[in-house]
Amino acid sequence: MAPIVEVHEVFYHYFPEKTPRSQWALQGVNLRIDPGEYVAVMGPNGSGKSTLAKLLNGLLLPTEGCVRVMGKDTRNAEDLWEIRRQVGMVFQNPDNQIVGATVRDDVAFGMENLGVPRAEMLRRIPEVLSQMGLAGREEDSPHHLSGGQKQRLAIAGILAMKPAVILFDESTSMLDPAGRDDVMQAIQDLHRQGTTVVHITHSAREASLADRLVVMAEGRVQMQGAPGEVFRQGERLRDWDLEPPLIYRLQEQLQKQGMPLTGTASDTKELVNELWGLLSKG
Amino acid sequence: MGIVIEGLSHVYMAGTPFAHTALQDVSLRMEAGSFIGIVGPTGSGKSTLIQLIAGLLRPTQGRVRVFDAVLDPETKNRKPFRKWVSVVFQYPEHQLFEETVAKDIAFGPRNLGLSPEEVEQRVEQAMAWAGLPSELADLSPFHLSGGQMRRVALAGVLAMQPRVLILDEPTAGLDPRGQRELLETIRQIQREQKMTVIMVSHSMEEISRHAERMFVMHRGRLVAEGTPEQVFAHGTRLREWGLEVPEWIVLAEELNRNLHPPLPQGIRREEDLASSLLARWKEGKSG
Repeated sequence: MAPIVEVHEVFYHYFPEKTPRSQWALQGVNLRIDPGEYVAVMGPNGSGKSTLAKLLNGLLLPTEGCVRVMGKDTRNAEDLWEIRRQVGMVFQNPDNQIVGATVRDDVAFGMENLGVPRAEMLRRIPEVLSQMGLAGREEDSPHHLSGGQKQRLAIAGILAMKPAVILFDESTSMLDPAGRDDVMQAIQDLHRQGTTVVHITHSAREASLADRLVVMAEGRVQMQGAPGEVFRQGERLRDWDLEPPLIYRLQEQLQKQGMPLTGTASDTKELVNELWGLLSKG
Repeated sequence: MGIVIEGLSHVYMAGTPFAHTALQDVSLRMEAGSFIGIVGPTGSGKSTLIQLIAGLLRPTQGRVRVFDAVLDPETKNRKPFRKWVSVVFQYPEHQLFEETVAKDIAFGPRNLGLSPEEVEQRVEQAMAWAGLPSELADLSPFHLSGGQMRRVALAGVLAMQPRVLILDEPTAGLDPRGQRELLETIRQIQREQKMTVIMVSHSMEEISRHAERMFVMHRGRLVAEGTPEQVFAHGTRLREWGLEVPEWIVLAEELNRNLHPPLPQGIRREEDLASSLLARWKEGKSG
């Protein structure tokens, strides 16, 4: 299968002439993302993960190496519009992404820029709003929506442009717990419906929902694999100031103290079953 | 007692069709010098409560006493509240505006009418408390990292030398390391300066690590209070109040379905869960 996104030996710095190569934000990143895949990216601040996100839809161009989206190179100016349409981006702050005075206008904004015919716009708006659970809110002012709903509105605006990939750059970090659940539900729904999802997050719990977890640090991909595999390497994660979710931390801690756990549990249920076995033996 | 609140209610736009009761008959006490956590979902009345404690709003009913200053529906002079209580609002770095870090921090104390020497001294002190290296004083705050910008905003508030420091989601949007370090700084200020710290947070993890006492708000009412252990003992009922149940509590409750006797209620931290599991296992092995 041809990858939908391909990052090949990418180096990046905002001012490459003035900065020694060892301090560049990205230092040889390689990454392939397959169509329909759900990839989480974690990394400490300054690891280059947000720079990588901006390279994936051509908001930034690589200083060296190349980024291809559906086979198109982001350095080709004539392909850039198509690449940006194919790779939608949801940012951190819900309030910075809203442009319309009503929910409907806000969804229409991106399509207007693409020159989508009005009849088509009128068809797509209710479709994406109901997909994001905002049906019936067309006339509302976006400022009356909750944080989670605002992010859903941002996603609806992107969906209306029919992208192949949606990139979430810390899109849950400014939300309350209810808003976070709301957006995580939306991400999982999109994935189930076949959209390729890339989610940059600081939350190990959120990252554990992805098919694959990529750990960025010091401008490179340091680890990747199924979230469970990555999270079982607590020591290495801590080198990058990252922590695995509770069930992995707990297994690690208990094993260190001599409790004969297998260390393979990857959800609460598996861990609880294993602990019941050990604690009832007597 | 540092802060005493009795029968406090607040209605926004009272007497209009848009009247909205944000706070209803809340009574509570907060000890001077303690670290207090306030939790509750969006719209639970937390923000209204902290604005009343800071004297930024006037209550519709009831009263707030901070040390010997009183705020009730008739209070005209709210100056003592401004002097003693300072609030670090959400994303306070959005309010930075000066050319240099030192000038930004000096803005508050200069408005107090202090002499230039006193202002300078307060700026130095506040930077030290907020964990900002003195080399940053002459830099533009806008060239700093997000975490440092937030510390500059915190220092601006500390320069007012309040007796009560209120923080609304102080770690929102920071990475895990930045969150941990900022909370350690705040904890140190509370201990060393004997400041009363009131922190609003969605994170039960943060509250469990730092708060000596916590208050749970739900739909404008105070529904639970106590040490984190006492509040966490409500278990999955926390979810009915719109709170995130700490992961280790979920795990402990799950385990308790099939453990006799059950694990203790109200486990404060994940380390405490680990140690009680280990104790149980060792007990089982030897018995």
